[in-house]
Amino acid sequence: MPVLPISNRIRELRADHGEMSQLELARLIGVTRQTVNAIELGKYSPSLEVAFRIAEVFDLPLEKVFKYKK
Amino acid sequence: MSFREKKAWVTMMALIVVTIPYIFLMVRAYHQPDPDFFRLVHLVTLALITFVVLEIALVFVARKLSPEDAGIPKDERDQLFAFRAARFSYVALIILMIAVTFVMIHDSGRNWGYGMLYLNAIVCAEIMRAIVVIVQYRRGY
Repeated sequence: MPVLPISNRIRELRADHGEMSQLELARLIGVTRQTVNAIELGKYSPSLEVAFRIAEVFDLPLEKVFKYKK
Repeated sequence: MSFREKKAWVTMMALIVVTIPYIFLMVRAYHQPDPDFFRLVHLVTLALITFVVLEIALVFVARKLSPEDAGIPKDERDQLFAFRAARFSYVALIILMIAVTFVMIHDSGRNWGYGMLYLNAIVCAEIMRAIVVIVQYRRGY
């Protein structure tokens, strides 16, 4: 599996937001639960649009949710 | 397993289940001393109907097993997977068409015309691919 240069805090943020489930987040951002899981595990880098939607759900700027590892 | 993955499994299994007996029966019917054209057409029709019925029934079952994402349209990851699959299957299709063309041409040299048609179809598909790439570069997205 390729190691993607982008990490994220989605799992942690879901826990902070009342143990929000992957399915709930998926419905809020318009993707499938499996896609949320793949993003969380770092298997898939979302598009900029989906990344912004995720950040919007948690009411945080993008860089507080995703981090680019050089 | 997501609904779309289940659907891909269903399509693959339905195609295999229908195609194996179909090829067996078709080859047997074709190699009869006097092949009956209508029997061949019946076989194709029967295989097609069986596939469609099987696919619909199994997709219905898959839908029942994955109610959470069955009604959701393809998201960007689903689309990426579909694009990759299309790219691989396109290459496979071109290779198989070239192989079939050579078989047709070597079949007593009677099918030169059809062989050339096949090759022209490949060329048309490649031209189409180039056009789609150019259009996307021109419009910028």
